[in-house]
This record gives sequence, C-alpha cells and structure tokens, in this order.
Amino acid sequence: MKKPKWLSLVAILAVFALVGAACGDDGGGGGGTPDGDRIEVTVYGQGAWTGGASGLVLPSMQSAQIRFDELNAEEGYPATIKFEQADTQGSGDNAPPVAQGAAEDPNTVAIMGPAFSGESRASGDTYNEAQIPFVSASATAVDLSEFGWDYWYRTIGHDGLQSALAARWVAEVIQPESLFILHDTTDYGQPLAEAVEAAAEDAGITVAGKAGIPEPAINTGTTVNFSSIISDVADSGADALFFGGYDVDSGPFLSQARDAGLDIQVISGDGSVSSTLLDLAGEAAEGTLLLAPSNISSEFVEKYNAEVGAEGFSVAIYSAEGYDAASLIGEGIKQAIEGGAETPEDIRAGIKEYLDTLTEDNPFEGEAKTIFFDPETHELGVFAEELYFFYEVEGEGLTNLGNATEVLGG
Amino acid sequence: MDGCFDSLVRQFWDQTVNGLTAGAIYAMIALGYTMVYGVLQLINFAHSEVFMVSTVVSLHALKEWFGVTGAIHGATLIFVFLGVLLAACLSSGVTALTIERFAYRPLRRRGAPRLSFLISAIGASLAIQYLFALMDGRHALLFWTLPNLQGPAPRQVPRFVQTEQLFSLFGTTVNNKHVLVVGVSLVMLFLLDRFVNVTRIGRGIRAVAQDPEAASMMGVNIDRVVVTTFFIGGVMAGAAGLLFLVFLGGSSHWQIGFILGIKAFSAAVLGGIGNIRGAMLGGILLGLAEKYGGSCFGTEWETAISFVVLVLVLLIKPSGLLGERVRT
Repeated sequence: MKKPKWLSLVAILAVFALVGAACGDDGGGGGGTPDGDRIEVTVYGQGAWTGGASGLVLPSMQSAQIRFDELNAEEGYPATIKFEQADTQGSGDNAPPVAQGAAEDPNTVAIMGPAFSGESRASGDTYNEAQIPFVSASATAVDLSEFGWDYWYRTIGHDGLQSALAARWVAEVIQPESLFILHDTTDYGQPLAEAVEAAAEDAGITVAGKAGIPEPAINTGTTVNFSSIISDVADSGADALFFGGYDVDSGPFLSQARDAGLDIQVISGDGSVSSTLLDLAGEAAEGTLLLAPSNISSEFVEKYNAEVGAEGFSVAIYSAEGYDAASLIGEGIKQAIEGGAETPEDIRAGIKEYLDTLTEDNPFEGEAKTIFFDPETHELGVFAEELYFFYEVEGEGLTNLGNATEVLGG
Repeated sequence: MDGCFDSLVRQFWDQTVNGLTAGAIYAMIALGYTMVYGVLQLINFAHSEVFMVSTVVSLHALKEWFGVTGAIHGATLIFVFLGVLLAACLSSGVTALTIERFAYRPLRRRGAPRLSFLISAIGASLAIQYLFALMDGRHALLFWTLPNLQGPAPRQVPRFVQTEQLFSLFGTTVNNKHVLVVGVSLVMLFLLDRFVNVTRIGRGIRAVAQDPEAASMMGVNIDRVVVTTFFIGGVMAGAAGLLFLVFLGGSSHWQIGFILGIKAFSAAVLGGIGNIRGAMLGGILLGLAEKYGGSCFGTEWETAISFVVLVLVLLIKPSGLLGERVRT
C-alpha cells in the first residue's frame, strides 16, 4: 500500500519543528544600537548552567546577575548589560560550539567564565582569537596561564596553592597514617590530586594507593560505579583519601563507600564544595573535609541569599567571586564607553585596557578580595593564603573551619 | 604499590562481588541486543535509550507517584519497589515497541537492505536521546517538561533502600543492595530462560531465530514474535535501569545509556550474539573481567580492559563463547 505523500511532508515538518525547538532557546543579542543614552551589550556566562555540576557554577552566575542588575539600574551607567547563558554543563567536550556561539554574537563584549578548567582549555583559543576578554572566577588549573591568552584573566588562586595547602592540612593537622589518592582523570582533578600526592610524600605521609575514575560523571552525566575503586581503597588500608574532582563524582563516591562499609576520612578540593555534594552523598558526607578559595559564609553570602531567595544554593560557592568578576566587567564596560567606545569591538578592547591598568597601587576592591593582575600571566597579582577556606561537613551543611592562616598557622 | 598479581589475589572476593553486581546489570541490558539480533539479525542501537527511559521513569515514579523521600522498610519497601519496577519495565517495554514499530517495521515491510536498518537504529538512538535532552526542566517541548532531568538541581533517586551489611563471604562483606541487584537479575533471567524454552511464543522466538521462513511455514506469526522479543528485551533493560539507580544513586541523564549500551552490546557479542544464555554469561564475564583487570592494572583501565577481553575472545572464538557459526 502506498503511503500518502502528505505523510512524508508531515514527517519533514515535524523534523523542522524539533530542530526549531532545539534552536529556539538560544539567547540572541538584540540591538547594539544605543538605547536612549545606554549602549546595549551582551555578556555571556560560560559554565554548567544545567546538569549535575550546576551546583558549583550557578551561585557565581546568580551573583553576577545580581551585579549586572545593579549596574543596569544605576543612574548614569552608560550601558544596558544583557547576561546570557553559554551552557556547557561543565564539560570540555561541549564547550567548543558553545564558545563559538558566544564569540560570534556581534554584541558580546566579555565572557564571565569559563567556570571549569577543562572547558577553559577548550574555549580559550576561541575567545582569545576573537579578542573578547574572558574572566574566570572559578577555573583553578595551574596551566591555564601558560597558553598565552592575552584576553584571559583569573580572579582566584590556582591549584598550585590549593594542592599545597591541602597537603599541609593533611600533613600538619589531619595527620593520617596513610593517604589514598583518587582523581577523576580530568584536567582539573588529576593535576590537583597528583600535586597533593607529591606534596604529601614530601611531607612524609605514606601514599598507600592511587586510582582514577574511568568515565567520571562530570564528563558522561552517568553515575559512576565506584565498587572496584572502593575495594582498592579498602585493600590499601589507608585511613584518609584525597579526592581530586567534582561533586557529581565525590557525592556518589561517599554514598557508595558508606554503603560498602568503608570508613575513611575523605578530603577534597573546591570541585566538591557545593550543595550537590550534600544532596548526592546525604548522611555519608558527614565529616568530609573540604577546602576552596572561596568563603561560603561571608557577608556577601548574606546579600546573595537575600537577593536570590528560594533559588539560592545552600552552599554559595564562588558567589562573591562571581559578583566581583561581574563588577570588573561592568567597570570595564563603563570605562570603555566613557573613553569613547561605541561598538562592541571597541568596548572589548576598552575592558581589556581597564583590566590591564589594575595594579597593586591601583587595584579593584571587590567583595571577596582586592584584585589586580600580573601583567604577564593575568593571574591574580597576589595569591593570599587567607583567601583559602577550610570546611567540614556537619549535619546538613558546611562548617567554616577558618582560612588557611587560621587553620594551618604561619 | 604492589604488583598486579598480589593486588588481584588480595582483592579477589571483593572484586568478584563487584563484578557480579555490575555484570548482572550488563547481562540484563545485553539480553535486549542479543534477542533482537537473534530474531532480526539487527543490532538495535536504540536499546541504550530503552534503558535510559527506564531510569527516567523510575526517578519520576519514586518521587512523584510514590512520594518517596527517604528510607523505607518492610512491606512498604517491597510494595514500592515492585510498583516502580513494574512502571520501569512497562515504560521501557513500550519504548522498545515504539522503536520496533517506527524505526524497523517499515523497513522490514519493504525488504530494505541491512544498511538502512543500521542507519535507522542509530537515528532512533540519537532522536530519543535528544528528545529527552530537550524535555529537561529547562526546555519545554510540546507543552510538557520532565521535571528537571538535568536542569538546575537535577532530581536524584531518593535513598529509599537502607543499606545493611548482610553477610561475609571469604572476607568481603555483601550488603542488601548487592543481593538485590544480583537476586532480581537472577530471577528475571531465570524467568526469561523458562519463557523462551517452555512457552509456545518462546518456541516461536527460537524458531524464528533459527529459520524465519520455515518458522512462518509452520504457522509462527513472525510479527508477533518480533514484537514480543522487543518487549521482553525492553522489560529486562527496564529492570536494569531501576537496579542501576538503586545501587549507584545519583540522577539520570539523557546520555546515561551510552556507555552501558556499548558495554552490554560487547557482553552480548562476547557471549555469542543471538544466544540468550550467551548474553547472560557475557554480561557476568565482562563485569568480572573489568573488576579483576582494574584491580590488576588500575581502575582507570577498567573499560579498556573489558574491550581487550572482548577482542581476545573473538580472536579465539569469533562467534563468541556460546555462539554458533554465523548464519549466511
């Protein structure tokens, strides 16, 4: 029996409808034309807006939105900033087309992010070639400054310091009999864990074993079966474990470890400091020790909670840092326009110029810290140990144990 | 760090328990691939999405229909578990039927070449994946969203089964979740085995797998056999989905079927594609090989090792462990 021709037509239209629905959600810049006295500009936030790792990224994006809203409402601020989502779900594999889209938007003047190190690696060239300043408030891998990206800036300390502090914490305070090193084979987790391993060995701690996760959830979205790793850890006899990786992996690891009866002190870095960890691990997270270059119980966090309300995350990681990054971009836009820039290209250049003019004597005073950049590496001019905070999971939240100076001493 | 052999010896029973549990899940998913291949000589690449649908429905059923938030015990636990299992199996069975109806049957009717089936399979797989990607809490499609499959704060499976250490086996502890996964799989595999070997439709499935023309001449309704095969494969994948969530926790993802699908497919090939008992054996062996290999060479290599094992077996016995010569 011959199928009627209209059925094929319907099928083709259905395909277009599906494609249209898929494309329809992308933010599009509008204008670029002056709105009254204000120039309309677009800033993209690149990171895990959705997906399992979103608990690590959304607090900073929400805080950035708070700042952009404040600027937009400010009398005399010369621009209207539209904050768009460049959603990669935190995966470096998803990043290239997303970064391409943001870079090709003619109204883009700056990027907030990328939030993670893997996606920074994957998108850095795109933004640098398009000469768009990109300011990351949370990507901590050490080698990001080695790619020679002129338009990249980082507003937190990198993992060289984080791993050193973690190792000191283990060696001087926690003092286990032996340590197991676990990482997620990503560009962030593995170097961090291996740096802790090296520093721990230098400090005289026995490293009883090391393992990597074959397909971590941060890449695949699929919960990992940790049973064999847990067996490895149990077999090694270690009484402490350092995990380099993200909450979507550390959470299930803690939960499955508890199920398997493994009783071990788990220590992890900033990738695990999120509400998602608490959700995924539940009671199994109790007693876990964490550190991050971000204070989740600062004064700014009170403001964050007040503004964001029910949509806020209980662990407001990188919130103040996100706010500061947005402030930097906002100030850069203002100075660019006041310096005569009108087109997005000129505003991008103006933002970069502003960021480059920050020095020790003329820094930016942010909520989280004073910011100025090293002229060559574009890292923070000063890495301060006081900006690293230590936490312990107690009950349903994180208890702030203090910063590095308080916890580790001199 | 000690040598490979020492690690393996020390961790042997631990990794055996781990391997059997993982293998049970691979085996259940592998059945779908093997049964469809047996009956249609077709690799149903969309079977990984049948598994994915089951995880999504399980999550939904647990949180919305049964309102589970924390641990439950006793009769309630059994009731909820069976209820969600039923929902999961039915949903994935229906998904498998839908795939059969729209991706393969039209091609079968027209006697399309093998390549068309392959392309349709891959297309169906991608289409379903992206359909679910579009339906997460952030994108509304057709006025309906799945509540936050992967949006901010993706929903996770509630920890409704309280883990209890049950017994010790040669020094390794076995908990109730291990027993649940392996137990439920064994029961379902056993039922399937009986179904295929004892019932009339089961005989029909075996007949079609052997020789479709002769089977149809003997009065076997090929279409009904095909539909039943897809449905049963779907049901098995459905159970695997729920067991996966209970054992590992976490949430679902529209690509959750991808890696598991590849492993399960390899397990089916390892055991002899088209052979039901082969798929069961292949799944268990793959799970064990992964864990033993990982214990020896490092857990990062687990996946690589399972594929090396597959290749080695095929080099020695190309039709798989329990497979017969490929029918021309």
